[in-house]
Amino acid sequence: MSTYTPNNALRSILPPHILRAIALNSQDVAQRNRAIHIMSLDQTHRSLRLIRSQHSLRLPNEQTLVTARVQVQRTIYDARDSMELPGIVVRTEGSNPAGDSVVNEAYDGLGWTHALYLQVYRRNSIDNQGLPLQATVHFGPGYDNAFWDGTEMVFGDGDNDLFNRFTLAIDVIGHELTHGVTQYEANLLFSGQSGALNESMSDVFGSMVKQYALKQGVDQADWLIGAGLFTAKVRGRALRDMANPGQAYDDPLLGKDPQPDHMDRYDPTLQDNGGVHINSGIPNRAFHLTATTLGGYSWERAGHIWYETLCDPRLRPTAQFSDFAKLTLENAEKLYRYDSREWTAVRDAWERVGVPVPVPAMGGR
Amino acid sequence: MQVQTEGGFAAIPGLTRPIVLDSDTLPPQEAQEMRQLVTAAHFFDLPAQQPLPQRGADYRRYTITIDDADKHHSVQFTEPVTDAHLRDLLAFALRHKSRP
Repeated sequence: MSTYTPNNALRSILPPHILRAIALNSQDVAQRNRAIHIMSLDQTHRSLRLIRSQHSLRLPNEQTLVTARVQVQRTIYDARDSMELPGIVVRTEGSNPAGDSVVNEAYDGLGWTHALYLQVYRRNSIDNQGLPLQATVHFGPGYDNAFWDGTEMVFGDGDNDLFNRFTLAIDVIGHELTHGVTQYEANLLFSGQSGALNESMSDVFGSMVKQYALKQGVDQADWLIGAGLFTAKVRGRALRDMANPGQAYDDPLLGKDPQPDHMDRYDPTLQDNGGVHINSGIPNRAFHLTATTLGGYSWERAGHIWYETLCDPRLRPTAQFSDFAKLTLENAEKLYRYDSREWTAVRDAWERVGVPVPVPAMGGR
Repeated sequence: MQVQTEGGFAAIPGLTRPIVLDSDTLPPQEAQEMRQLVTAAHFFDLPAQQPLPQRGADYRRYTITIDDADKHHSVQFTEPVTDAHLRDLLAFALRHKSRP
């Protein structure tokens, strides 16, 4: 297992764009992690500045919070390859980096995810009430998975045969934490189309966490979920490809990526809770099309529309793709206006993935 | 013993090949450990279907099937596994996972 020591000198010397380049391009995993960690520290300071400048935040539920509560509170546990949760505490908020890079990857990934929600969407953690963030690493023997158990995030180390550790990809951490956000908002049922929407929300925000951490525009982003999780033995770039669903991997052992990119190819399987990790390719592509049509940073306009929709009380736990699509269009109208560039981008994106939204002749409902 | 896994963040249809462990072919010490874990879990007395989680996402669903002499039983459950003995039995199987 590789370890690293934070390099404060590096932090003070290297400008953000160099750190981003190292994080993106370095072939040295330890070096790449160090760059991401340093950027994470800078991000924490940015959060603190934001909080100090506001003294109180006006949240969507109109609750005013005192400054002290709007701070990330992370605790990382180590299951030591067992399947017992949560394990032993190995790092808490504000403590020095651990000697274990997996612990630090989880800590930094939670920090970036919290930062995106706070700084961009003014959301105070998973429940918007400052819920402390908990994650367990080194879960299970050769465990090829990560999951949200309803209260915390859990990450396996992979089997080192086909899969690397699941903390390696920051979008995976954002993905799991977003399952918590969804639980506290629309609480989309983890089955069938609502489950695929639940998965898609996690992929969308997981990808945006990565883009936000690396300050990537939509044209620079890779739009991959789980890039780096496969070992060199696997013919594949990632677990999922939001830009090109169905083309993330094609491997003799794993088979071909089964994600559809259009409703015509929707998979009615009963496996995987009704294909929640398969059919999520359709709404994933709708988000990608919206974001790339609008350009700039995905978390700005496209991200705002999707976030507003996730928090929209009209989004029911059993929502279908068409229900979600309709609400994204209504939120695009609310945030921008009927027939705006943003509204048109959302309408066209859903049309292209085979989920057309009936549009009234005039805006407003 | 056969363990079938389904779902999870890295749900890949090509990876659904079950783990199959045979006490006749396992090394004697491991075969003995497996028998002890099955006994400790009271496996043949467990309900076939454990309650589904009310919260959570990306959890994996496991189906453990055991044939022992004239007994045959399957138990389906999801993560996180709260039954410590069942968890130990699952961890034993995962430790013995092999790739083709």
